[in-house]
Amino acid sequence: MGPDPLAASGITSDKIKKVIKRTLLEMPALTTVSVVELATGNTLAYCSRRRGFNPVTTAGHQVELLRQQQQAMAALALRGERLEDILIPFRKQLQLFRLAKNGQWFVFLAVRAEDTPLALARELLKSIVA
Amino acid sequence: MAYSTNSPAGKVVQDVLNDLPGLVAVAVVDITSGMALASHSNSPALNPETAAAYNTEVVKQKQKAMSALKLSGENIEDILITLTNQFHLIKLAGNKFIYLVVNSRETNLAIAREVLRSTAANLN
Repeated sequence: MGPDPLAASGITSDKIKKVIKRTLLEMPALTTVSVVELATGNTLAYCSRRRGFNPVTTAGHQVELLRQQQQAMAALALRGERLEDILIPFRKQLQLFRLAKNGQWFVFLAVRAEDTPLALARELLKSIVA
Repeated sequence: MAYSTNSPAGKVVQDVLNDLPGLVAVAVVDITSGMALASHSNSPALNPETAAAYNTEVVKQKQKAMSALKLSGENIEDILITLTNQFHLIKLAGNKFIYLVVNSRETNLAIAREVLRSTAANLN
């Protein structure tokens, strides 16, 4: 057996399953949830109710956004600070990115703004990713 | 003090400072050039001009993503970034944005957002 392709990102397939399952269980009205590896931009798993959702294009843009933010943080030399999450509230949709503790993968969540308060979605994602 | 209260951008910085005296840094940034029109920092470690330049890239990237994903009818209104001890907030208003850094233990995220929402209306 070769090396586990997931080993580099520090996430196991069990954990991926758990993240997707728990998110679906606790936020049944979600639009999209995906688990993405930061280094490669690969979507490890996703579930979306959007017709025509393209995990490859979406993940590409998301990874770029997080890298930009990490570059900003590096340039500012913020000591003792780690990127935890990014929230982008739109009129009809909330988008959340939560980075894993090791910084190698993240969970993306999109929900309808009218169904889910921002604070709730954020807390939920925090407990799921931890 | 890197702002003049004679300009709308300077006034916004002053308004945010009045409402959130404990903030870490605040800047009004022009998205086209990535330069700060007015800024103030209470922390010697955080240069709001540097932050402005990098955050313009974050905003542009997100706008690119939105047009690629064809999220029609949606506008980015704000971006909230949570760090270990800080919140970084980006509030968009036309071709400018307000960038605000607060300490997460001292400032409530909802209040910070509300302050930005009310002051952003005076920007354009």
